Order: sequence, then structure tokens, then C-alpha cells
Amino acid sequence: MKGSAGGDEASEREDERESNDGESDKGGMRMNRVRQLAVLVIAVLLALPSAQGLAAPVQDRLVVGIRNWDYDTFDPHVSNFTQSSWVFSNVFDPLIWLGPDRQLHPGLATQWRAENDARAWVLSLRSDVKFHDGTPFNAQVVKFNFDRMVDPNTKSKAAEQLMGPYAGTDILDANTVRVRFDKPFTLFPYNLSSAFMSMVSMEAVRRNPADFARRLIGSGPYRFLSENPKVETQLQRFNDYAWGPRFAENRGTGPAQMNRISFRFIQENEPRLTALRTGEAHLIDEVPPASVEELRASRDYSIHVVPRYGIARAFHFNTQIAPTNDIALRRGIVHAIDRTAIVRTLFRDTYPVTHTMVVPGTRYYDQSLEAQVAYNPGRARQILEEGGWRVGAGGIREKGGQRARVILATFPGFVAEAPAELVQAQLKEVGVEMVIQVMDGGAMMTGMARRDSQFNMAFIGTYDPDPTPLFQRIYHSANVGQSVFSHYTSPHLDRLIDTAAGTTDDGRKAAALREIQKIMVDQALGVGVYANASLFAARSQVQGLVFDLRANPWLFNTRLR
Amino acid sequence: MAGLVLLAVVAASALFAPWLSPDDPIRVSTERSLKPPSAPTWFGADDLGRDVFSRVLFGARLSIGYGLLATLLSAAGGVILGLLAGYGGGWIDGAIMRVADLLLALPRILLALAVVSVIGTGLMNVSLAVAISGIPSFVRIVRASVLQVRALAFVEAARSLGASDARLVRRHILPNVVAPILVMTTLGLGASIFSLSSLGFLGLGAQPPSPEWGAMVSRGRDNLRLAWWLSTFPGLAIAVTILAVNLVGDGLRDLMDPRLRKAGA
Repeated sequence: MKGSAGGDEASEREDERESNDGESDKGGMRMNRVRQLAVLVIAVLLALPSAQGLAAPVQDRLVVGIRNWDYDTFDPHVSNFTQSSWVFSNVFDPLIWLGPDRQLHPGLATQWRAENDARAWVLSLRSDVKFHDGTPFNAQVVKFNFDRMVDPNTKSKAAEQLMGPYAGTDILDANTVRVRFDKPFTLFPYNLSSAFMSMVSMEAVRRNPADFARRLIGSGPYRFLSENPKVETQLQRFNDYAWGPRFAENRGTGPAQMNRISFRFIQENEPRLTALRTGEAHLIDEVPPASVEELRASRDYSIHVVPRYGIARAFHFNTQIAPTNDIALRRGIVHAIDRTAIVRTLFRDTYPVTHTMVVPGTRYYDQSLEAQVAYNPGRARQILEEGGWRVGAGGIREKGGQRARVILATFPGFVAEAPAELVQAQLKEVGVEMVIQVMDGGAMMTGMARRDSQFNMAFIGTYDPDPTPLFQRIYHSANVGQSVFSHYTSPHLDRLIDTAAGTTDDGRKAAALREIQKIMVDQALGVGVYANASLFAARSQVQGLVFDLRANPWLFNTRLR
Repeated sequence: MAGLVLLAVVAASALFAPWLSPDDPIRVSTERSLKPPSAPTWFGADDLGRDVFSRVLFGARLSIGYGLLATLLSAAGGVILGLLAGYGGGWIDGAIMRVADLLLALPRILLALAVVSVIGTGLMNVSLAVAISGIPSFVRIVRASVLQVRALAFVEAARSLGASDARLVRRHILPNVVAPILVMTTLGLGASIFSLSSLGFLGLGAQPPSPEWGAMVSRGRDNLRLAWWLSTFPGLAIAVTILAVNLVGDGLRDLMDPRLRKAGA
């Protein structure tokens, strides 16, 4: 992102050079003046109507300013990019909704039930749903969608994983399907509530598979109008919409409130804030924490901090390489990190503090473990001493010739670099040296997970209101080398994860997930710092802004006063 | 003259940073986070409560030190290749100069970025990248000077007395192209410091918590509205240093160019 700013500068210089060449002789200069004048006049004439349009407040259009312009695609089955889903979740509907009450609610599917120990799920579908292109939604469409998600040609980054051990779909009648799996798959209905599992128009994909991402056809409250890639995407209300979830104020009763929604991608913080202040945007994301206080103090804005449940932005320890293969060192580090100070100093208490690696409020969160990982530098020193780590040269501890020197991999930007620097100072206090290596997020995650990783720690957050798929990803032996950042696995842990993922008994699932959290703390596999959060600011005229449990904004009910 | 004084001040602050700075540049002190400039913290404190004045002083060591290193490497590479091209002539000249032309066609920072993407980030690598990106302009200058000197009568005389190529280059040509190399080196130092800071700004240079100027300007952007001092002071430091170096370079050029000296007298 930063690199592209440099690229823009370079291209500006190119332009300058070209126009200088054009003005090299006097005749050319006169011609140029005439041409410039003509262009100016035409531009003014063209601008007149739109200038009038700007002067009158356009109240039927909601403008959302979003930072991450580097989104992948708006095709839900291909994308795994959060900000993409903010756009396309208005265009498509899921089969099942995850409501604000943490319960599953009917979406395009009215009922679902497990068969054969959750090796199959029978879904009953709505019969009154039409896509934006007029084609009907039915069992055939659902089968097509599931098959498309797992098709290697789709190159799915999220949906395919969410389909788990998918085996196939049987059409029982026009509005009923049976979805089969190779193994028990209790998470299926829950996964169906992900925006990446939304239903797309079968006809539209078949008609033009290559172009679908640029001509999205769904059944959602807004239809896709236009995309100026990386700049702006516009949606227009779908007037026939009548199948919203019951928990939404106006959904189920009729179409959305706004005539249009415009998503503008504004990468730099200051311009995005300015867009909000001037009214060019009604709603922006990624408000810099330093500006939150100021906006909160004003009656013209409201601030929305929505935690992302799951695994916090946490330091994961590599338990395989020295010196973090020593559990005493890991435990010492856990107690030496003052999360409250980090959140207060750097983020003005905007993000929620976390204690264990799991964000409070995540399903099956075990609060009783918090005391075992509390900040306590005295305890940290004691654990390190008892573990044989004695203070050596330069105040850095040593054990058997091994220095307490850890390499941290982190990603660029204020949210990761600044905490790393603060932790670096905090660890020095207890005699642990931390070397910070900044790299892009992808390099950090693959670098940490690969079998020959040289990083002792990495700063990674991963989100889902239900921790089961997260634990599966980062602690199941099947994923070693791919996403097991701590390189810690055991048959016992595998069994617990399989139980949590496979059982239909919620009590058994809760017990397994509690046990996993206990192992994470006992083995000191990592330490949470803060919960990542969606951080939005809205102008006061914005009403009905709701966030789902995945911290994504729901705009179908949003309107301007 | 003004340039010399300015450069002396900057160089002194780099050299004596440990004695001049009131605080450890990497000491974190959360209670003075984002403290505005005032009595003990002259340039204010950053988000982690580190003293910006101390960081700017220590930053001078990094920027000037690695800038100097990069420039000297450029000069060394450029002189060797320039001598080879200018004195050797023929296909050697052709080959070296075509490559140099090719590299000169690219903006320097782009070239440095390309090199960094191959050899990796970090201050040392970035310096190396800046050094490599600076070589082509040295080659051009040295080659042109060598071509001039080579055609002079005394070189011809030395050659007819039986001087070897190595001796000719060492004793007769090199001493006579030193002046432009010196001027170029001084001016190149400014450009190197600028490139280093730019790459630091992009997050490719010094790793935290090193107080590198470019990185400081970049980090300060996050709090620009609340704390103008974070980016301003390291930015000023970059500007003043480059101005000083360029003024000295200009002065040096005037001094060493006999034509300009006559005009001035």
C-alpha cells in the first residue's frame, strides 16, 4: 500500500515531463494555451449540472468510505476479503443468518435438520425468492452454488474451506436439498451464515462465468450498479426485495431504505477523515484511534467499536525453536506484557484488552483462565529465575549459553508495529531481548507456520465468533506447516478439536473447547494483547447501522435522517 | 560557507549524539506519550513517549553514516567502471555505458526499490541498494573526465616514454579526474540520504526501534492531526542535512572549476 504511494509520485513526474516537452517551442505553447482554454470551458460546462447536484444534499444516497482499496473480488465464493464482503453482503443473501442474539435465523433456507450424526443436512428453501435477473431461487440453484464453491476452477479462498468435508448435494424436491458430508459436520448451518457462502444466480454465472465478478447477480436488498475498481462501487436498491431476516427492523416487510449505496475506497487516514468531516462520506471505517476521542466529543458523529471475536491480536510462540521452546521463558513473557498500558497508550482505550488468546465474548470463552495470564512483572522474573534464566551481559538473561533473545515477526502499520515496540521495552525490563522484523501479513503468517520457521513469535489475529474452526486451523496436526503457528500439537488436542467440530451435543462441545483453552494457557502457546475491532465513525444523520457478530456492518437497514 | 557551517552542525550532532541528547532514544515512557514540545523534551515525545529530540540526534548517525557508506560505495564502483570504460574504450566502453544508460533511464528510487526487493529489507541492504542505484551517474562523470584527460599531451608523452596502462591510469589520469569525483561524491551524499529516508519512509530500511528519520516521518503520519512534531522534526532534519550537503557540494564545484573561479574573481 505504501509502495503504491511512491508509484503515484513517479507517475506524476512522468506527466510533468511530457507536458514540458509539448511546450518546447513558442507555436506549440500558443496552441497549448488555446487547447487548455477550450478544455477549461468544456469542463466548466460539463461540471455545471453536477455542481448543482452537489449543492443540493443527496439524501437518498449513503456514501461509505473504506480504507482497504486492495480488495480481491466481489464474487463471494472466490473472495476471502472482509471489506469485499461489506460490499457484496448487500447484493447476496445467505441461506441462514447469524442474528445479534447469537442464534441462527432463517434466511433463504427456512429450516435445517441433521441426519445420520450430522453427516448430512436437509435444507428447506423459500419458494418466493427471485434473483435480480428475474430467475427463481430453488433447490437446483443451491446445488449449483455448493458445487461451485468446491470446484477447483472457482479458486475459492474461503467458501471451499467453509464447506468442510462436502460430498455432494441431492435435490429432494424443488425446494428441498440434502447436503452430504464425508464426516460429521455440525458447523455446517453456522458456516452457512458467512457472507462468503451467499447464494448467487445460477443463470448469471452460467451465462458469463468469467465476467460474473463484474456483473454480480444476487437476491439481496441492493443490486450491483457499477464498479470503478479500487475507487468506487455503487449499489442500487432492489425494489422487489421481501425476504429479509425477521430480526431486522424493516426486512421481511420490504425493500431497503436507501436508493443507493456508494462505497468509496480512500486509503489514507487523513483524507478519509476529511471525507467524513465534509459530509462527502456518511460513514467511514478504520478511524485512527487517536482521532476517536475528538469525534466522540462532537455531537455530529457517532463512533462504533465492534470487537472481532475469535483469537485476539496475539503473540503466538514458536514452541519448536530456541529459546521459545522453553516453557519457562514463554510463561515469563506472558506475565511481562502489560496489555492495559499498550491499549491505553497507543489506542486510547479504543480496542478491548484481552488476556488469554481468546477474545472475551467469543462463544465458549473461559473467563476463569484470565487470572493465570495476568500482567505481573515480579511473577515474570520469578518464573524466569526458577526456569534457570539468569541475568547475564547487558541485563539480558541466559540459560546454558542460550541468550533470551527472541525474534518477533510482525506486519506494518500502527496497529502492529507500535505494540511491538512497546512490548520490546516491556520485555527488556525482565531481561528478555526482542528483535522486531516487520514484513507484510502474508509473509508473516507463512513464515511463522512453515516447518523450518525461524521466528520465535508472530503477531496474528484470526476471527470467528465460534472458536472451533480457529482452533482447528491453528492447533490441529493436520494443518502443521500450513497454519499451526505455535508448532504445538498432540493427539489429545487433536481429539478435543475433532470432538468440538463433530459433536451435536453442545455440552460436549463446550467441555472440549474449555479444555483446549486450558491447554493454550498451561502450555503458554501465546498471549493476547487486544481484540481487533471494526472501528467506524458515522455522521449523526446515519440511522439504523447494525453490526453482525463477525463485526461486519449491515447496511440493509441503514438510512439517512 | 553557510553550507559548511550547517554541515558541521549536523555532523557534530551525529558524532556527539550520546552526549548531546537528553535521553535514551529508544527509552519508552508511556506517561509522556504524545507530549508536545516543551522544556525537557524540546521536540516533544512520540506515541511511545520517546524523546523526539534524542531520536532526531541519533537518527543523524544512521542517516549520515549509512548515506556516506552508500555514496562511497557508489563512488568506488563508479570510478572503477568509469576508468575501465573511458580508458579501455572499444567494446568494454560500449558494454558498460549501455548498461549505465539503461539504469539511468530509471528513476533512482525505483532502481533502489527493485534492488531491495531482490536482496531484502534492512538498513544495510537498503544502503547497498542506494549505492548500486548511484553507480551509473558516477560512471558517466568519470568516463567523460577520463576521455578528456586521456587526449591531453602529457598523457601521450607519458605513454611514449613507455608507461604501462596501470601506471598511466594511476599516476596521470586518476589524479586529474579527482575534482569532479569529489564534487559528485558530495552532491551524491545528499541524494543518498534522501533515497535512504524515502526507503525508510516506505518501511524498508531501519527496523524498529531504530530512530531512522524517514521511518520517523512515516510513523508520525498516524498522529499528524494531534501531534505535528512527530513528522515535522525528522522531516526538517532531512531537509537541513540535504541542504547543507548540497551547499557544500556547490561550493566545492565552484572552487574546483577553474572557469567558474575566474568568473567569480
